[in-house]
Amino acid sequence: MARNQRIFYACQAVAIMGRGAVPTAAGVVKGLQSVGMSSTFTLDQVFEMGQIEIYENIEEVADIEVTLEKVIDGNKLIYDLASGGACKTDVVTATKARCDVYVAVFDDGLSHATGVPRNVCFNSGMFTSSVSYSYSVDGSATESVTLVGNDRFWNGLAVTRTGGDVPVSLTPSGSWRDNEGSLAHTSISQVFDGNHSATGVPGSGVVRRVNVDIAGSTLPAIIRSQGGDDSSTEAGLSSNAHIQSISVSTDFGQENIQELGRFGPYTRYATFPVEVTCDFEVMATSGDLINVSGAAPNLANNELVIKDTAGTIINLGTQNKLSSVSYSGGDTGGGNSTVSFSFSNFNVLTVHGGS
Amino acid sequence: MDDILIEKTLYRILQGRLRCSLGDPVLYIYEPSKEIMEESFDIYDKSYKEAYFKGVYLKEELKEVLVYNELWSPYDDREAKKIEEKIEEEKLEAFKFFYKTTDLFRIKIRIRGLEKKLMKVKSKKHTLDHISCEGAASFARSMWIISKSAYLTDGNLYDWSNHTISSLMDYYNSNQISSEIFRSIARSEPWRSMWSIGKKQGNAFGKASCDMTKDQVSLCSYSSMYDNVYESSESPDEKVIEDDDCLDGWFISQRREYEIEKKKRQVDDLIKNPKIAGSDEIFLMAKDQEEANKIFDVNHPAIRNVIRDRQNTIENADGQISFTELNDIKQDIAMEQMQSAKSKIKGNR
Repeated sequence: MARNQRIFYACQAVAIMGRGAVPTAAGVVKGLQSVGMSSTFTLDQVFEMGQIEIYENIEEVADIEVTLEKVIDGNKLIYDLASGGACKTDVVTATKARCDVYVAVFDDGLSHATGVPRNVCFNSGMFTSSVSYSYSVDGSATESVTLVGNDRFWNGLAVTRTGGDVPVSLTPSGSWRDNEGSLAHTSISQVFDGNHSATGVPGSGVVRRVNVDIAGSTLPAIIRSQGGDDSSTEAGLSSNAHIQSISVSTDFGQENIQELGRFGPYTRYATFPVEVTCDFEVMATSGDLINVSGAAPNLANNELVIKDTAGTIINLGTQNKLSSVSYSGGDTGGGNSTVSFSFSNFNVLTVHGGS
Repeated sequence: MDDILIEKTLYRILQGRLRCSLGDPVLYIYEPSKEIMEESFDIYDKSYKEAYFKGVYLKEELKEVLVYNELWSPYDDREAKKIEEKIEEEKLEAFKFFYKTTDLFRIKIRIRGLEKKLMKVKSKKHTLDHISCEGAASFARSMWIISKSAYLTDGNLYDWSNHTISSLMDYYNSNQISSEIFRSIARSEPWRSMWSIGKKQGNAFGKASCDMTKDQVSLCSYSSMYDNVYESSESPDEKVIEDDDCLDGWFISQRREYEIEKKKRQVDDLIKNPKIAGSDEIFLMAKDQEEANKIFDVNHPAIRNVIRDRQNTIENADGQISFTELNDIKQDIAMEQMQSAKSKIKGNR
């Protein structure tokens, strides 16, 4: 449901844990920049013949969505936390993994010397819906992950404290648990005690343009075709490829599967095949250098592996094909010409990195 | 306001002097020149040192005396701030109720009352200023400035044979121009025409801004303020412009609208991710409560109430609640139900 006005919360920390696990410091997302949460309610109206008033307004299960964005900094990636490490091996397993997302918010209007959050929003049994990675010449490299689910619960951490102002372990209860069954025994513990704020130390430093290891990455030859002739010492890790930005993204879909006799979905499924796209923007030193023939196939499979110095390895496998090329810029306004290459594959994306 | 008073004061400002007719002889108290102002600080420093070495209190030290004698307390400062906020709200009301004469009259009475109260509360802090080093030095400096600025009508510096410096200083202080008069002059004739023509020629007073007297600078500031009001795309009615309280209310309303827009822009710049920017609830990372408060400030006042309502609802529910039980979400669901029902009925026609 789209609100007229958004609510801005001050967030103290976000923890992503495997489903039903007690939050620990290991689950706190480091380098997190912002989080967005939305909910969608579906309502079904039933009318009756001979009556103008509504017969029954039926509420369907609500969909909730959480989008998180962090800088890539050598700490654990969101996708890694959300999939319980499955993102390193297989996209199918990663889409099936479920997690709990805890978003701790500060108090509005009061000041806590300890910085202990007032409330924790608990999103339970979340599936990974979409993942994207972005490297650009301006700013920091980022990871953005969207998680979807059907259960959201607010815990008032401020009302349950010990004498030392330490949050007491809270186990959610009530009818909302029905959909989660026995796995909804998650509790909130001392992880949100004010010591796991956003100001952590980056694992290996935030990845900027200089940290993108183009030389160590495996890229299609066409990407390197716009390259210059600087020596390798001068070029550093750029490999003279003049790449301006790289973005990798995929959307798993994650549809609900219902069953008779149950209000909520019994699971969600990724709408395979899922397309994984990888876009490159390269400064043009010539045309796009793509030959197109109507007499024979033009494209070949390409291997795509993107690396950075923080240890991130984004592997898109060996069957990536060029899906589009566009040449733009170079106008009378003095803008530079750039070539955008889009590659895509299906169902192959593994991500390593962060610790 | 009396037209004669406006014109009389205008020419006083233009001449840069106050005509003082306390008796024979008639004197002119000129606004101090840059040279006099510069030298006056030597008098200030000298008097300050003298007072300090005689063991006179510093202004900061007198705070303790004020508190001990129950003449002032930090509570009064907070009280003054609250009154200022109340005045602001009342002025906003005055602007909104401009066309309801009876309501406006009542609001104005309340504003005047609050202003008196504010002056009383604020003056408490300065009760003992005159016995401080700073107070004594300021007094000596003012006396010296007056002694160097009083001239006879023939242009000769006055020799203080008939009047005392303090009597002239009292006269000068009691004839200070109020902001109400400045504003009246700035928006009415003959000054309005002088100002318009002067702007085209370069300067209404025919001299550099650093050579202007403080009254001339004030008049220019107010005139510019009225120029901005007249040139604004949302310029209020002429009658509102003529009413100081209502115009202040218009300024407050404009400032608040601008602040809300500015916050929106700041937030939009902060969130680059379109998915997060389009979310219902956005969580921005804060490292302490101070930063958290800045983030909460970004919210519209109505949204702040939603957040507080949520906090209370969660607390009242023994610290645990499903998000669908939050009042604002309940309202959203109800609205959604109504909209869906409406569109379904329309679709069936």
